[in-house]
Amino acid sequence: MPLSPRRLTASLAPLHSPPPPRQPPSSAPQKTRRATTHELIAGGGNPSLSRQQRLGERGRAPPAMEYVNPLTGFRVDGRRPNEMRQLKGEVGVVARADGSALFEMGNTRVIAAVYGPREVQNKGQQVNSKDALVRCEYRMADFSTGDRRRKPKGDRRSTEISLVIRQTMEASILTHLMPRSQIDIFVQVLQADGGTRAACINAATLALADAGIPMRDIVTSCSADLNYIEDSAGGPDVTVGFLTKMDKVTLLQMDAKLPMDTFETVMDLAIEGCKAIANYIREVLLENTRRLECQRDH
Amino acid sequence: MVGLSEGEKHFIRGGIAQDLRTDGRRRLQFRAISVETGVIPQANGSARVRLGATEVIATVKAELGKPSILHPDKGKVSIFVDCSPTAAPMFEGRGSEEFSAELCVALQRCLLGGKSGAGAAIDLSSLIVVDGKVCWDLYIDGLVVSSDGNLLDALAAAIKVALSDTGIPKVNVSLSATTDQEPEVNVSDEEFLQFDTSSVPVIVTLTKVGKHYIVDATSEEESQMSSAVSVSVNRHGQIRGLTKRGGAGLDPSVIFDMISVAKHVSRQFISVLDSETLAAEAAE
Repeated sequence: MPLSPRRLTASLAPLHSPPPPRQPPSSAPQKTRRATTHELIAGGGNPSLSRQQRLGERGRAPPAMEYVNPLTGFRVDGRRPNEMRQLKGEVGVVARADGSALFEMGNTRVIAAVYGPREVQNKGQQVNSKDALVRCEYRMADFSTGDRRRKPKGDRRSTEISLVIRQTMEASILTHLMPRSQIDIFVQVLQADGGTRAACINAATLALADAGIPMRDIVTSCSADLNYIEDSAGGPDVTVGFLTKMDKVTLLQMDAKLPMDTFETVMDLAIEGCKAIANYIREVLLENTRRLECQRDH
Repeated sequence: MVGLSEGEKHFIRGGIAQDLRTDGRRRLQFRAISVETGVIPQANGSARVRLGATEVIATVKAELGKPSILHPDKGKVSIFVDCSPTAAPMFEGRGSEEFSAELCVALQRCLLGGKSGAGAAIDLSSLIVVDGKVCWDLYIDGLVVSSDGNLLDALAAAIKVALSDTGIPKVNVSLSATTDQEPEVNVSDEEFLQFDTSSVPVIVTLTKVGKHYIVDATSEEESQMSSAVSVSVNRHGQIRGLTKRGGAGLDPSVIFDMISVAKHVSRQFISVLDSETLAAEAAE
Protein backbone atom coordinates (compact mmCIF):
# COMPACT_ATOMS: atom_id res chain seq x y z
CA MET A 1 0.00 0.00 0.00
CA PRO A 2 1.92 3.08 -1.14
CA LEU A 3 1.37 5.84 1.34
CA SER A 4 2.31 9.44 0.98
CA PRO A 5 3.11 11.33 4.17
CA ARG A 6 0.14 13.57 3.52
CA ARG A 7 -2.23 10.64 3.32
CA LEU A 8 -0.85 9.27 6.53
CA THR A 9 -1.44 12.57 8.25
CA ALA A 10 -4.93 12.76 6.92
CA SER A 11 -5.85 9.31 8.04
CA LEU A 12 -4.36 9.72 11.49
CA ALA A 13 -5.89 13.09 12.20
CA PRO A 14 -8.74 13.05 14.67
CA LEU A 15 -12.06 14.53 13.60
CA HIS A 16 -11.77 18.05 14.85
CA SER A 17 -8.04 18.35 14.58
CA PRO A 18 -6.31 21.29 12.96
CA PRO A 19 -5.84 20.95 9.26
CA PRO A 20 -2.54 19.64 7.99
CA PRO A 21 0.07 22.35 7.91
CA ARG A 22 0.01 24.63 4.97
CA GLN A 23 2.68 23.58 2.62
CA PRO A 24 3.32 24.78 -0.84
CA PRO A 25 2.94 21.72 -3.07
CA SER A 26 6.53 22.06 -4.26
CA SER A 27 8.01 21.66 -0.78
CA ALA A 28 6.87 18.10 -0.20
CA PRO A 29 9.10 16.32 -2.71
CA GLN A 30 11.99 18.49 -1.68
CA LYS A 31 11.63 17.40 1.91
CA THR A 32 11.64 13.74 0.97
CA ARG A 33 14.69 14.19 -1.17
CA ARG A 34 16.52 15.90 1.65
CA ALA A 35 15.77 13.04 3.96
CA THR A 36 16.93 10.35 1.59
CA THR A 37 20.06 12.06 0.38
CA HIS A 38 21.22 12.63 3.87
CA GLU A 39 23.97 10.07 3.92
CA LEU A 40 25.56 11.06 7.18
CA ILE A 41 24.60 7.90 8.91
CA ALA A 42 23.42 5.78 6.04
CA GLY A 43 24.09 2.15 6.68
CA GLY A 44 24.74 2.46 10.37
CA GLY A 45 21.56 4.26 11.15
CA ASN A 46 18.52 3.70 13.10
CA PRO A 47 15.40 1.98 11.96
CA SER A 48 12.59 4.33 12.67
CA LEU A 49 12.75 7.61 14.42
CA SER A 50 9.58 9.07 13.07
CA ARG A 51 7.25 6.17 13.38
CA GLN A 52 4.93 8.46 15.22
CA GLN A 53 4.80 11.01 12.45
CA ARG A 54 2.39 13.73 13.51
CA LEU A 55 1.52 11.75 16.60
CA GLY A 56 4.23 13.24 18.71
CA GLU A 57 4.91 10.95 21.60
CA ARG A 58 1.42 10.93 22.87
CA GLY A 59 1.37 7.27 23.60
CA ARG A 60 -1.78 6.86 21.58
CA ALA A 61 -1.94 3.40 20.04
CA PRO A 62 -0.89 3.83 16.44
CA PRO A 63 -3.33 2.40 13.96
CA ALA A 64 -2.47 -0.81 12.21
CA MET A 65 -0.39 0.43 9.35
CA GLU A 66 2.82 -0.59 7.72
CA TYR A 67 5.60 1.91 8.12
CA VAL A 68 7.80 0.32 5.53
CA ASN A 69 6.32 0.02 2.12
CA PRO A 70 6.71 -3.65 1.16
CA LEU A 71 7.04 -2.77 -2.54
CA THR A 72 9.70 -0.10 -2.44
CA GLY A 73 11.23 -0.79 0.95
CA PHE A 74 10.97 2.88 1.86
CA ARG A 75 9.31 4.33 4.91
CA VAL A 76 6.41 6.72 4.84
CA ASP A 77 8.69 9.73 4.82
CA GLY A 78 10.92 8.31 2.09
CA ARG A 79 13.72 6.99 4.27
CA ARG A 80 15.27 3.58 4.09
CA PRO A 81 14.46 1.35 7.08
CA ASN A 82 17.74 1.94 8.89
CA GLU A 83 18.32 5.48 7.84
CA MET A 84 18.34 8.22 10.38
CA ARG A 85 16.47 11.45 10.03
CA GLN A 86 18.36 14.57 9.16
CA LEU A 87 20.27 15.95 12.11
CA LYS A 88 20.94 19.57 12.80
CA GLY A 89 22.77 21.02 15.75
CA GLU A 90 23.44 24.63 16.52
CA VAL A 91 25.23 26.04 19.52
CA GLY A 92 24.60 29.35 21.29
CA VAL A 93 20.98 29.98 20.34
CA VAL A 94 19.92 31.60 23.62
CA ALA A 95 22.01 34.70 24.08
CA ARG A 96 21.71 35.12 27.82
CA ALA A 97 22.19 31.50 28.88
CA ASP A 98 25.61 30.18 29.90
CA GLY A 99 25.29 27.48 27.30
CA SER A 100 22.56 26.68 24.81
CA ALA A 101 21.86 24.57 21.78
CA LEU A 102 19.24 23.73 19.22
CA PHE A 103 18.96 20.12 18.11
CA GLU A 104 16.81 18.79 15.31
CA MET A 105 16.11 15.21 14.34
CA GLY A 106 13.89 15.42 11.32
CA ASN A 107 10.85 17.38 12.36
CA THR A 108 11.57 17.07 16.06
CA ARG A 109 13.12 20.29 17.24
CA VAL A 110 14.38 21.01 20.74
CA ILE A 111 16.14 23.91 22.45
CA ALA A 112 18.26 23.36 25.54
CA ALA A 113 19.70 26.05 27.78
CA VAL A 114 22.17 25.58 30.61
CA TYR A 115 22.54 28.01 33.52
CA GLY A 116 25.46 27.39 35.82
CA PRO A 117 27.54 26.26 37.54
CA ARG A 118 26.27 28.86 39.98
CA GLU A 119 25.49 29.17 43.64
CA VAL A 120 22.85 26.75 44.90
CA GLN A 121 19.61 28.74 44.87
CA ASN A 122 17.60 26.59 47.23
CA LYS A 123 19.87 25.17 49.90
CA GLY A 124 17.27 22.57 50.83
CA GLN A 125 17.77 20.82 47.51
CA GLN A 126 21.45 20.31 48.08
CA VAL A 127 21.90 16.70 49.10
CA ASN A 128 25.64 16.37 48.94
CA SER A 129 27.85 19.42 49.28
CA LYS A 130 30.78 17.67 47.61
CA ASP A 131 29.01 17.35 44.26
CA ALA A 132 27.31 19.81 42.00
CA LEU A 133 23.53 19.78 42.03
CA VAL A 134 22.14 19.04 38.57
CA ARG A 135 18.57 20.07 37.85
CA CYS A 136 16.51 19.69 34.75
CA GLU A 137 13.16 20.86 33.48
CA TYR A 138 11.50 19.61 30.32
CA ARG A 139 8.71 21.59 28.76
CA MET A 140 6.68 21.14 25.63
CA ALA A 141 5.37 24.14 23.75
CA ASP A 142 1.60 24.22 23.33
CA PHE A 143 2.05 24.18 19.59
CA SER A 144 4.62 21.38 19.47
CA THR A 145 2.22 18.55 18.68
CA GLY A 146 -0.12 18.16 15.75
CA ASP A 147 -3.31 19.08 17.54
CA ARG A 148 -3.06 21.92 19.92
CA ARG A 149 -3.71 21.19 23.56
CA ARG A 150 -3.13 23.16 26.67
CA LYS A 151 -1.67 21.05 29.39
CA PRO A 152 -0.93 21.93 32.97
CA LYS A 153 2.75 22.33 33.66
CA GLY A 154 4.51 19.57 35.44
CA ASP A 155 2.34 16.72 34.23
CA ARG A 156 3.57 13.20 34.83
CA ARG A 157 5.12 12.70 31.45
CA SER A 158 7.16 15.91 31.66
CA THR A 159 8.26 15.09 35.18
CA GLU A 160 9.39 11.65 34.09
CA ILE A 161 11.31 12.96 31.11
CA SER A 162 12.91 15.70 33.25
CA LEU A 163 14.09 12.98 35.60
CA VAL A 164 15.41 10.80 32.78
CA ILE A 165 17.35 13.69 31.26
CA ARG A 166 18.74 14.74 34.63
CA GLN A 167 19.95 11.26 35.48
CA THR A 168 21.47 10.75 32.05
CA MET A 169 23.32 14.06 32.11
CA GLU A 170 24.42 13.64 35.72
CA ALA A 171 26.15 10.43 34.70
CA SER A 172 28.42 12.30 32.31
CA ILE A 173 28.99 15.57 34.20
CA LEU A 174 32.02 15.60 36.49
CA THR A 175 29.95 16.83 39.42
CA HIS A 176 32.77 16.39 41.98
CA LEU A 177 34.72 19.21 40.32
CA MET A 178 32.02 21.75 41.14
CA PRO A 179 31.09 21.33 44.80
CA ARG A 180 28.40 23.51 46.37
CA SER A 181 27.15 24.66 42.98
CA GLN A 182 24.12 24.12 40.84
CA ILE A 183 23.68 23.44 37.15
CA ASP A 184 20.27 23.98 35.58
CA ILE A 185 19.34 22.34 32.31
CA PHE A 186 16.16 23.57 30.66
CA VAL A 187 14.81 21.79 27.63
CA GLN A 188 12.04 23.23 25.52
CA VAL A 189 10.39 21.16 22.81
CA LEU A 190 9.36 23.32 19.86
CA GLN A 191 8.20 20.48 17.65
CA ALA A 192 7.48 16.92 18.69
CA ASP A 193 7.62 14.33 15.97
CA GLY A 194 8.81 11.23 17.73
CA GLY A 195 12.07 10.72 19.59
CA THR A 196 11.76 13.86 21.73
CA ARG A 197 13.46 12.11 24.62
CA ALA A 198 16.50 11.35 22.51
CA ALA A 199 16.56 14.79 20.94
CA CYS A 200 16.39 16.42 24.38
CA ILE A 201 19.39 14.50 25.63
CA ASN A 202 21.41 15.37 22.54
CA ALA A 203 20.45 19.04 22.86
CA ALA A 204 21.37 19.00 26.55
CA THR A 205 24.79 17.51 25.75
CA LEU A 206 25.49 20.24 23.21
CA ALA A 207 24.32 22.95 25.60
CA LEU A 208 26.46 21.59 28.46
CA ALA A 209 29.48 21.52 26.18
CA ASP A 210 28.71 25.08 25.10
CA ALA A 211 28.56 26.14 28.75
CA GLY A 212 32.01 24.61 29.24
CA ILE A 213 30.90 22.19 31.91
CA PRO A 214 33.40 19.37 32.40
CA MET A 215 32.04 16.02 31.23
CA ARG A 216 33.40 12.49 31.16
CA ASP A 217 32.21 11.89 27.65
CA ILE A 218 29.64 13.00 25.16
CA VAL A 219 26.37 11.31 25.99
CA THR A 220 24.06 10.89 23.04
CA SER A 221 20.72 9.24 22.66
CA CYS A 222 18.80 7.61 19.90
CA SER A 223 15.60 5.66 19.77
CA ALA A 224 14.88 2.68 17.60
CA ASP A 225 11.87 0.60 16.99
CA LEU A 226 11.20 -2.62 15.30
CA ASN A 227 8.65 -1.94 12.72
CA TYR A 228 10.80 -2.84 9.81
CA ILE A 229 11.93 -6.08 11.38
CA GLU A 230 8.68 -7.27 12.77
CA ASP A 231 6.55 -5.43 10.31
CA SER A 232 4.00 -4.94 13.02
CA ALA A 233 2.62 -1.53 13.64
CA GLY A 234 2.88 0.01 17.05
CA GLY A 235 6.00 -1.96 17.72
CA PRO A 236 8.13 -1.47 20.78
CA ASP A 237 10.21 1.65 21.06
CA VAL A 238 13.70 1.46 22.52
CA THR A 239 15.54 4.59 23.65
CA VAL A 240 19.21 4.28 24.46
CA GLY A 241 21.58 6.80 26.01
CA PHE A 242 25.19 6.05 25.32
CA LEU A 243 28.62 7.30 26.41
CA THR A 244 30.45 6.86 23.14
CA LYS A 245 34.11 6.82 24.12
CA MET A 246 33.61 4.86 27.30
CA ASP A 247 31.28 2.48 25.48
CA LYS A 248 28.70 2.53 28.24
CA VAL A 249 24.94 2.61 28.18
CA THR A 250 23.53 5.18 30.60
CA LEU A 251 19.90 5.08 29.63
CA LEU A 252 17.74 2.27 28.38
CA GLN A 253 14.02 2.43 28.03
CA MET A 254 11.66 0.11 26.23
CA ASP A 255 7.91 0.16 26.30
CA ALA A 256 6.73 -3.24 25.09
CA LYS A 257 7.57 -6.90 25.24
CA LEU A 258 10.13 -8.24 22.87
CA PRO A 259 12.01 -11.51 22.33
CA MET A 260 15.55 -11.37 23.70
CA ASP A 261 17.35 -11.93 20.39
CA THR A 262 15.35 -9.25 18.59
CA PHE A 263 16.02 -6.90 21.45
CA GLU A 264 19.75 -7.27 20.93
CA THR A 265 19.43 -6.35 17.25
CA VAL A 266 17.35 -3.31 18.08
CA MET A 267 19.66 -2.17 20.82
CA ASP A 268 22.66 -2.54 18.54
CA LEU A 269 20.90 -0.39 15.98
CA ALA A 270 20.14 2.25 18.60
CA ILE A 271 23.76 2.20 19.77
CA GLU A 272 24.94 2.61 16.18
CA GLY A 273 22.62 5.58 15.98
CA CYS A 274 24.08 7.04 19.18
CA LYS A 275 27.59 6.70 17.79
CA ALA A 276 26.62 8.44 14.58
CA ILE A 277 25.00 11.26 16.55
CA ALA A 278 28.09 11.55 18.74
CA ASN A 279 30.21 12.00 15.61
CA TYR A 280 27.84 14.67 14.42
CA ILE A 281 27.82 16.47 17.78
CA ARG A 282 31.60 16.41 17.83
CA GLU A 283 31.63 17.98 14.39
CA VAL A 284 29.27 20.73 15.53
CA LEU A 285 31.41 21.45 18.58
CA LEU A 286 34.64 21.47 16.57
CA GLU A 287 33.09 23.79 14.04
CA ASN A 288 32.00 26.08 16.87
CA THR A 289 35.48 26.04 18.38
CA ARG A 290 36.99 26.90 15.02
CA ARG A 291 34.60 29.79 14.66
CA LEU A 292 35.49 31.06 18.14
CA GLU A 293 39.18 30.77 17.30
CA CYS A 294 38.70 32.83 14.15
CA GLN A 295 36.88 35.47 16.15
CA ARG A 296 39.69 35.60 18.67
CA ASP A 297 42.33 36.02 15.98
CA HIS A 298 40.59 38.98 14.40
CA MET B 1 16.40 39.31 38.39
CA VAL B 2 19.20 41.49 37.14
CA GLY B 3 22.04 42.00 39.55
CA LEU B 4 23.45 45.48 39.07
CA SER B 5 25.87 47.46 41.18
CA GLU B 6 25.22 51.07 42.18
CA GLY B 7 27.77 52.24 39.62
CA GLU B 8 26.10 50.31 36.82
CA LYS B 9 22.69 51.65 37.76
CA HIS B 10 24.06 55.18 37.76
CA PHE B 11 25.70 54.58 34.37
CA ILE B 12 22.45 53.31 32.81
CA ARG B 13 20.39 56.20 34.19
CA GLY B 14 23.03 58.77 33.25
CA GLY B 15 23.25 57.39 29.72
CA ILE B 16 19.51 57.61 29.24
CA ALA B 17 19.48 61.18 30.51
CA GLN B 18 22.14 62.08 27.92
CA ASP B 19 20.40 60.23 25.07
CA LEU B 20 23.19 57.68 24.71
CA ARG B 21 22.35 54.27 26.11
CA THR B 22 24.78 51.58 27.21
CA ASP B 23 24.58 49.78 23.86
CA GLY B 24 25.06 53.00 21.91
CA ARG B 25 21.42 53.50 20.99
CA ARG B 26 19.45 56.69 21.34
CA ARG B 27 16.36 56.84 23.53
CA LEU B 28 13.85 56.21 20.76
CA GLN B 29 15.83 53.67 18.79
CA PHE B 30 14.96 49.98 18.50
CA ARG B 31 17.52 47.20 18.48
CA ALA B 32 18.10 45.36 15.23
CA ILE B 33 15.11 43.19 14.46
CA SER B 34 15.23 39.93 12.55
CA VAL B 35 12.24 37.96 11.36
CA GLU B 36 11.77 34.39 10.17
CA THR B 37 8.47 32.95 8.98
CA GLY B 38 7.20 29.39 8.76
CA VAL B 39 9.42 28.17 11.61
CA ILE B 40 6.82 25.70 12.96
CA PRO B 41 5.50 23.69 10.00
CA GLN B 42 2.77 22.07 12.11
CA ALA B 43 1.04 25.42 12.61
CA ASN B 44 -1.02 27.31 10.06
CA GLY B 45 1.28 30.25 10.47
CA SER B 46 4.34 30.95 12.56
CA ALA B 47 7.10 33.47 13.01
CA ARG B 48 10.24 33.97 15.02
CA VAL B 49 11.23 37.50 15.95
CA ARG B 50 14.54 38.51 17.43
CA LEU B 51 15.04 41.92 18.99
CA GLY B 52 18.66 41.99 20.10
CA ALA B 53 18.98 39.07 22.54
CA THR B 54 15.21 38.75 22.97
CA GLU B 55 13.74 35.92 20.94
CA VAL B 56 10.09 34.94 20.69
CA ILE B 57 8.12 32.50 18.56
CA ALA B 58 4.46 32.99 17.70
CA THR B 59 2.25 30.40 16.08
CA VAL B 60 -1.29 30.50 14.78
CA LYS B 61 -3.35 27.33 14.68
CA ALA B 62 -6.84 27.18 13.24
CA GLU B 63 -9.36 24.59 14.32
CA LEU B 64 -12.96 24.19 13.28
CA GLY B 65 -15.33 24.88 16.13
CA LYS B 66 -18.73 26.21 17.00
CA PRO B 67 -19.38 29.93 17.34
CA SER B 68 -20.66 31.11 20.70
CA ILE B 69 -24.40 31.57 21.12
CA LEU B 70 -24.00 35.26 21.85
CA HIS B 71 -22.11 35.94 18.61
CA PRO B 72 -23.25 33.41 16.02
CA ASP B 73 -21.69 35.44 13.21
CA LYS B 74 -18.18 35.58 14.61
CA GLY B 75 -15.25 33.23 14.96
CA LYS B 76 -13.11 32.98 18.07
CA VAL B 77 -9.52 34.01 18.72
CA SER B 78 -7.56 33.22 21.84
CA ILE B 79 -4.06 34.22 22.79
CA PHE B 80 -1.75 32.33 25.12
CA VAL B 81 1.77 33.16 26.17
CA ASP B 82 4.35 30.91 27.76
CA CYS B 83 7.78 31.89 29.00
CA SER B 84 10.20 29.04 28.54
CA PRO B 85 12.66 28.41 31.37
CA THR B 86 15.39 28.51 28.71
CA ALA B 87 14.88 32.29 28.71
CA ALA B 88 15.61 32.68 32.42
CA PRO B 89 15.87 30.27 35.34
CA MET B 90 13.18 32.27 37.16
CA PHE B 91 10.62 30.92 34.67
CA GLU B 92 11.20 27.40 35.95
CA GLY B 93 8.19 25.42 37.15
CA ARG B 94 5.28 27.68 37.91
CA GLY B 95 7.55 30.69 38.11
CA SER B 96 6.52 31.97 34.71
CA GLU B 97 2.77 31.82 35.28
CA GLU B 98 2.22 35.27 36.68
CA PHE B 99 4.46 36.96 34.16
CA SER B 100 2.99 34.97 31.25
CA ALA B 101 -0.50 35.91 32.34
CA GLU B 102 0.46 39.58 32.47
CA LEU B 103 1.83 39.47 28.93
CA CYS B 104 -1.16 37.46 27.77
CA VAL B 105 -3.70 39.94 29.14
CA ALA B 106 -1.81 42.88 27.66
CA LEU B 107 -1.77 41.21 24.23
CA GLN B 108 -5.45 40.32 24.44
CA ARG B 109 -6.27 43.89 25.31
CA CYS B 110 -4.31 45.20 22.37
CA LEU B 111 -5.33 42.65 19.75
CA LEU B 112 -8.75 41.27 20.60
CA GLY B 113 -10.77 44.36 21.43
CA GLY B 114 -13.76 44.35 23.77
CA LYS B 115 -15.89 41.47 25.02
CA SER B 116 -18.26 41.77 22.08
CA GLY B 117 -15.33 41.37 19.72
CA ALA B 118 -15.77 44.93 18.52
CA GLY B 119 -12.53 46.65 17.73
CA ALA B 120 -10.59 43.43 17.32
CA ALA B 121 -7.52 43.65 15.14
CA ILE B 122 -8.56 40.47 13.39
CA ASP B 123 -11.86 40.61 11.56
CA LEU B 124 -13.77 37.96 13.50
CA SER B 125 -16.59 37.74 10.99
CA SER B 126 -14.08 36.57 8.38
CA LEU B 127 -13.58 33.44 10.50
CA ILE B 128 -17.16 32.29 10.18
CA VAL B 129 -17.82 29.29 7.95
CA VAL B 130 -21.55 28.63 8.51
CA ASP B 131 -23.51 31.18 10.54
CA GLY B 132 -24.18 29.85 14.03
CA LYS B 133 -22.82 26.39 13.17
CA VAL B 134 -19.20 26.28 12.13
CA CYS B 135 -16.41 28.78 12.56
CA TRP B 136 -12.66 28.84 12.81
CA ASP B 137 -11.11 29.00 16.26
CA LEU B 138 -7.76 30.70 16.06
CA TYR B 139 -5.25 29.80 18.73
CA ILE B 140 -2.37 32.21 18.92
CA ASP B 141 0.53 30.94 21.01
CA GLY B 142 3.50 33.02 22.00
CA LEU B 143 6.63 31.40 23.37
CA VAL B 144 9.48 33.38 24.88
CA VAL B 145 12.69 31.51 24.10
CA SER B 146 15.25 34.09 25.13
CA SER B 147 14.54 37.15 27.18
CA ASP B 148 16.39 40.45 27.20
CA GLY B 149 13.63 42.93 27.83
CA ASN B 150 10.77 44.32 25.78
CA LEU B 151 8.98 40.99 25.50
CA LEU B 152 5.59 42.56 24.85
CA ASP B 153 6.68 44.45 21.75
CA ALA B 154 8.51 41.41 20.43
CA LEU B 155 5.51 39.14 21.02
CA ALA B 156 3.11 41.55 19.32
CA ALA B 157 5.45 41.86 16.35
CA ALA B 158 5.80 38.08 16.14
CA ILE B 159 2.03 37.64 16.25
CA LYS B 160 1.59 40.21 13.52
CA VAL B 161 4.09 38.43 11.29
CA ALA B 162 2.65 34.99 12.13
CA LEU B 163 -0.83 36.18 11.17
CA SER B 164 0.41 37.44 7.85
CA ASP B 165 2.09 34.05 7.36
CA THR B 166 -1.14 32.23 8.22
CA GLY B 167 -3.16 30.43 5.60
CA ILE B 168 -6.62 29.28 6.59
CA PRO B 169 -7.70 26.26 4.53
CA LYS B 170 -10.59 26.90 2.22
CA VAL B 171 -13.74 25.14 3.43
CA ASN B 172 -16.43 23.79 1.15
CA VAL B 173 -19.75 23.40 2.86
CA SER B 174 -22.42 21.16 1.47
CA LEU B 175 -25.66 22.33 3.00
CA SER B 176 -28.13 19.60 3.72
CA ALA B 177 -31.82 20.05 3.04
CA THR B 178 -32.88 20.23 6.65
CA THR B 179 -31.47 23.27 8.36
CA ASP B 180 -31.04 21.79 11.82
CA GLN B 181 -28.68 19.08 10.62
CA GLU B 182 -24.97 19.54 11.07
CA PRO B 183 -23.53 20.88 7.84
CA GLU B 184 -21.00 18.72 6.09
CA VAL B 185 -17.65 20.39 5.96
CA ASN B 186 -14.90 19.62 3.53
CA VAL B 187 -11.54 21.15 4.38
CA SER B 188 -9.34 21.74 1.39
CA ASP B 189 -5.67 21.00 1.83
CA GLU B 190 -4.58 22.84 -1.26
CA GLU B 191 -6.38 26.15 -1.22
CA PHE B 192 -5.65 28.63 1.51
CA LEU B 193 -7.03 32.01 2.34
CA GLN B 194 -4.73 34.72 3.58
CA PHE B 195 -5.61 37.13 6.31
CA ASP B 196 -5.94 40.81 5.99
CA THR B 197 -3.36 41.83 8.56
CA SER B 198 -3.13 45.47 7.60
CA SER B 199 -5.06 46.51 10.69
CA VAL B 200 -3.13 44.32 13.12
CA PRO B 201 -1.28 46.72 15.39
CA VAL B 202 2.24 46.68 16.76
CA ILE B 203 2.93 47.47 20.37
CA VAL B 204 5.42 50.14 21.32
CA THR B 205 6.41 50.18 24.98
CA LEU B 206 7.81 53.37 26.39
CA THR B 207 9.75 52.69 29.54
CA LYS B 208 10.25 55.60 31.89
CA VAL B 209 13.65 55.74 33.52
CA GLY B 210 14.28 58.87 35.55
CA LYS B 211 12.77 61.84 33.75
CA HIS B 212 13.01 60.33 30.29
CA TYR B 213 11.43 57.45 28.47
CA ILE B 214 12.99 54.96 26.10
CA VAL B 215 11.76 52.37 23.61
CA ASP B 216 12.88 48.74 23.41
CA ALA B 217 14.45 48.56 26.86
CA THR B 218 16.86 45.74 27.66
CA SER B 219 16.34 43.83 30.89
CA GLU B 220 19.04 45.93 32.61
CA GLU B 221 17.21 49.07 31.61
CA GLU B 222 13.86 47.57 32.59
CA SER B 223 15.19 46.93 36.07
CA GLN B 224 15.62 50.72 36.44
CA MET B 225 12.18 51.68 35.19
CA SER B 226 9.61 53.52 37.26
CA SER B 227 6.71 52.77 34.96
CA ALA B 228 6.06 51.70 31.40
CA VAL B 229 3.27 52.49 28.98
CA SER B 230 2.53 50.06 26.14
CA VAL B 231 0.62 51.56 23.27
CA SER B 232 -0.64 49.46 20.40
CA VAL B 233 -0.86 51.40 17.19
CA ASN B 234 -1.95 50.20 13.79
CA ARG B 235 -0.75 51.23 10.37
CA HIS B 236 -3.15 54.17 10.21
CA GLY B 237 -1.84 55.63 13.43
CA GLN B 238 -4.92 54.60 15.41
CA ILE B 239 -4.51 53.53 19.02
CA ARG B 240 -5.87 50.02 19.61
CA GLY B 241 -5.02 49.51 23.23
CA LEU B 242 -3.07 50.88 26.13
CA THR B 243 -1.47 49.29 29.16
CA LYS B 244 0.46 50.89 31.95
CA ARG B 245 2.76 48.82 34.11
CA GLY B 246 4.95 49.67 37.04
CA GLY B 247 4.15 51.24 40.37
CA ALA B 248 5.02 54.88 39.87
CA GLY B 249 2.30 57.32 38.97
CA LEU B 250 2.40 59.34 35.77
CA ASP B 251 1.22 62.85 35.14
CA PRO B 252 -1.69 62.73 32.62
CA SER B 253 0.10 65.20 30.35
CA VAL B 254 3.12 62.87 30.26
CA ILE B 255 0.85 60.03 29.15
CA PHE B 256 -0.49 62.09 26.23
CA ASP B 257 3.05 62.99 25.33
CA MET B 258 4.06 59.31 25.45
CA ILE B 259 1.15 58.31 23.22
CA SER B 260 2.11 60.79 20.54
CA VAL B 261 5.74 59.67 20.71
CA ALA B 262 4.63 56.03 20.47
CA LYS B 263 2.57 56.86 17.40
CA HIS B 264 5.56 58.47 15.79
CA VAL B 265 7.93 55.60 16.66
CA SER B 266 5.44 52.94 15.58
CA ARG B 267 5.45 54.27 12.02
CA GLN B 268 9.15 53.49 11.64
CA PHE B 269 8.79 50.22 13.50
CA ILE B 270 5.98 49.02 11.23
CA SER B 271 7.94 49.86 8.10
CA VAL B 272 11.03 48.03 9.38
CA LEU B 273 8.87 45.05 10.38
CA ASP B 274 7.15 45.03 6.98
CA SER B 275 10.39 45.00 5.05
CA GLU B 276 11.82 42.27 7.31
CA THR B 277 8.64 40.22 6.85
CA LEU B 278 8.82 40.54 3.08
CA ALA B 279 12.45 39.48 3.13
CA ALA B 280 11.63 36.51 5.37
CA GLU B 281 8.75 35.40 3.15
CA ALA B 282 10.98 35.65 0.11
CA ALA B 283 13.64 33.56 1.82
CA GLU B 284 11.18 30.87 2.93
